[in-house]
Amino acid sequence: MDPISSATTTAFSGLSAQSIRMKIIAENIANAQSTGRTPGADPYRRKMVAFANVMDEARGTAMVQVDQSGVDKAPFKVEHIPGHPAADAQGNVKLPNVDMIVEMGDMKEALHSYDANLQVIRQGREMMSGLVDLLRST
Amino acid sequence: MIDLVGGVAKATGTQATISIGGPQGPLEAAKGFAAHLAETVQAGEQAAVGGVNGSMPMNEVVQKVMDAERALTTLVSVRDKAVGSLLELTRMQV
Repeated sequence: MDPISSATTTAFSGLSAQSIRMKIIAENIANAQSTGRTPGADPYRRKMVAFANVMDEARGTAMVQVDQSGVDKAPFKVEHIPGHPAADAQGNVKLPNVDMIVEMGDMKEALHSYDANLQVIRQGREMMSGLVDLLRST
Repeated sequence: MIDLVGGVAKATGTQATISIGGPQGPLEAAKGFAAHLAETVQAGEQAAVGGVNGSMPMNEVVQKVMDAERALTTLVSVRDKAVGSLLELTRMQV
């Protein structure tokens, strides 16, 4: 496969990976207050993504793949809210281990990575059009 | 060359049917190249429809449409070059 096309394809896989990362961040932020439904039940556990390098044999180029099955093993926050449906016998409620500052930092990083991949695509496109334009010059 | 013009022109939808002489190796390959590019353009069109329906991820839609655009630009450039060469031949003094 043409190297410039390969670069573009790899950058598109990067865009896809960052989109999935963004989806996971959105889920974490939306569920930052999601508790269990029964007394003492576990609340929402923060999800994490892991990126892996995967070789696309057909194209002969390295792509990025996202594993979105990971969860943050950090302990839950605990608050004393006796009237809460998820409160245990002592009135303690387990809250999700989502930290808004960490999520915001992750989001910023996802945005920067997305922009970097977009830039690779733009540049590849420019190089390819330059090459094809050689045919037009008379 | 004339077969090449016919093959490329067909693939770009101009329906030119200039064909003189029998099938030849390199010219057949050129036709195959044109057919491949035409397939890419078709995939781009399908992706555009998928994008409107929301049945395909936006990344994929943009990628396929961009591929189609690039294929079409290349194809048109090659066709113009081939047609230009043909015109040069017709201007030759006999």
